[in-house]
Amino acid sequence: MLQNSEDNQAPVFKTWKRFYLFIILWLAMIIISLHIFSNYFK
Amino acid sequence: MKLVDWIVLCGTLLLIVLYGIYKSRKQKNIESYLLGDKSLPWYQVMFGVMATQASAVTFLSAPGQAYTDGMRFIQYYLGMPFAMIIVSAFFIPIYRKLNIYTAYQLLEKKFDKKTRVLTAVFFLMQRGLAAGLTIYAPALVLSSMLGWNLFITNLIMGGLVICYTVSGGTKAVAHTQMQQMIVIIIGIFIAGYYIILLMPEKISMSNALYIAGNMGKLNTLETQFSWSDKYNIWSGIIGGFFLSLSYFGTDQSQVGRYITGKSIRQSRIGILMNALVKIPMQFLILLIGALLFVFYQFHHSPIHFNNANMSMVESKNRAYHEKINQQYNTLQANKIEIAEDLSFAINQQQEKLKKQKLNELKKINIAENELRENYKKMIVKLDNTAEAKDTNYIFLTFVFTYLPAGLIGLLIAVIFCASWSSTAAELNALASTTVIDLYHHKTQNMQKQLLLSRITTIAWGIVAIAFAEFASNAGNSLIEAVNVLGSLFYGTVLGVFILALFFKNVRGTQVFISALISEAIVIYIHIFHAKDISFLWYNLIGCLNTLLLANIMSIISRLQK
Repeated sequence: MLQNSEDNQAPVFKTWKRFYLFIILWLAMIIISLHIFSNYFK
Repeated sequence: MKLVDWIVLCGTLLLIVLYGIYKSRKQKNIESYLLGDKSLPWYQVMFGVMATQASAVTFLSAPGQAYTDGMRFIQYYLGMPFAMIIVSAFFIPIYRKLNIYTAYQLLEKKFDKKTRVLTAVFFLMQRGLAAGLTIYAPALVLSSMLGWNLFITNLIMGGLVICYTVSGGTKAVAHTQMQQMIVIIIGIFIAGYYIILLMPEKISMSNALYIAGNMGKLNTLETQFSWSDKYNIWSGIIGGFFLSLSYFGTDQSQVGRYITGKSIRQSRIGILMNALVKIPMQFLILLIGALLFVFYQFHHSPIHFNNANMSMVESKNRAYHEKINQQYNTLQANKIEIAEDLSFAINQQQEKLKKQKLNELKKINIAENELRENYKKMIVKLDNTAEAKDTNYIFLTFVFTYLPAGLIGLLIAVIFCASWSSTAAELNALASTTVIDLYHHKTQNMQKQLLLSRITTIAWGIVAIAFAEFASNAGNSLIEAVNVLGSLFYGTVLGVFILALFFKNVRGTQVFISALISEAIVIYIHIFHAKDISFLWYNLIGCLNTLLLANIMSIISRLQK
């Protein structure tokens, strides 16, 4: 489906799947941080 | 406003408009006009997607929302990164492979013309009206706060954006959106810096966060599930995911931004970077609101933040206005005294005194809120077309009261930029959908197509301004109705697109009928059960209904054969 080899190359990460995984981990980290943040300053 | 504010405001806006026109001066054909020759790097795609989503009201209301309701609004964005992954993995490659101008073209290629036209009409209906509100809502705030004429503010707010959108098309939109986003980010963070700077000396950042946290303003995560609660982690992740997927995957005002990337790779990076930075950015904007709340524990705040409403109550019921303000001012004086005692207790680490003063501060804030609510009821009683909610005015009241000359001009420029960045993308998308999905087949002449695109952009601009002027007279209920209108269609349209991308056996007529039925179900739920089910769930319901009905029809028709 992708047009050329350049399109297959994700930045920093080798594949797009790894980039997606990074975003999911990033979101998980944000949710944990938000949880800590909302409870810490009480 | 002082002269220096006018210079900053006009200078910033003029530079952006001229830059947009200059950078996009050569428009050869409809491809360069509507797709920007598919030449944009990832960072322009990212700024474009971000600027289109964030209208002026987003920047005005988010700090105000954190001030009144705490930071729980952040949960609304939790589903967005998942949606961005789906858009990047499935939507972008297919849009680019089919080399299309609008998202709805995909539906004719997969199903039939009537399904394409149906979704395009859904889009034109809701986005055409919403574009009017993107102009009207900030114009209303500015005219109330600065005493500007609303009719003229609407005209300027809408008129200038038409100029560069018509002349430069998609490229002008993309170039200006990047500058606008930079002005917005700088302006918002300067205002945030001033809130921290103007806090009493003894209040450190951690003390301010301690007070905000204990007053319930740092409630960033609510894990309890409820169908009717708009902002909890579940409605945020699940409801927010479907809303974001519909918006970023199928709304032409967003699709039109990322299909203009230089390559699939650039489009993907742009959209994924947006997934990475959006939540932290929104967090900081909401944090500004929570800190503003702490700031107003040590400073006097008005009983109502919209000056126009205050003047109206004062002129129509002076006795009530004076009496309630007197009560409110007494509370304010007590509140500031308690807040000072609390900061002393925090600094001296006197736990018992700290708890006692926190309780007193909570009670006094509850009493203050009651007076604020009573005042709002009086506003509606005296003028039922007035908008009693003053969330959008809280942040700007701080800006106009405490920021130095020059920065006020910059913050007004921020409002214009935020409004323009959304309106420009909307007008551009409305024009492409009208020309490509409704008229394109009628002419193959490139010059005529380009002219037609320009004329439709002007026409939609005029519709948007006219609707903004109409909204000025119609009042608050109309604005709410238009906002709801958007969320009614999204789920069904997303369902149609998912069928197009992932289900090979369904046919056009089956999709068309199931879209109509599921739309009727969503409208029924909205009319009869709006109080039980938050609007975030409409997207999920509309989408699942469309998927289910189309598949049932497809199975039945195959069994009959």
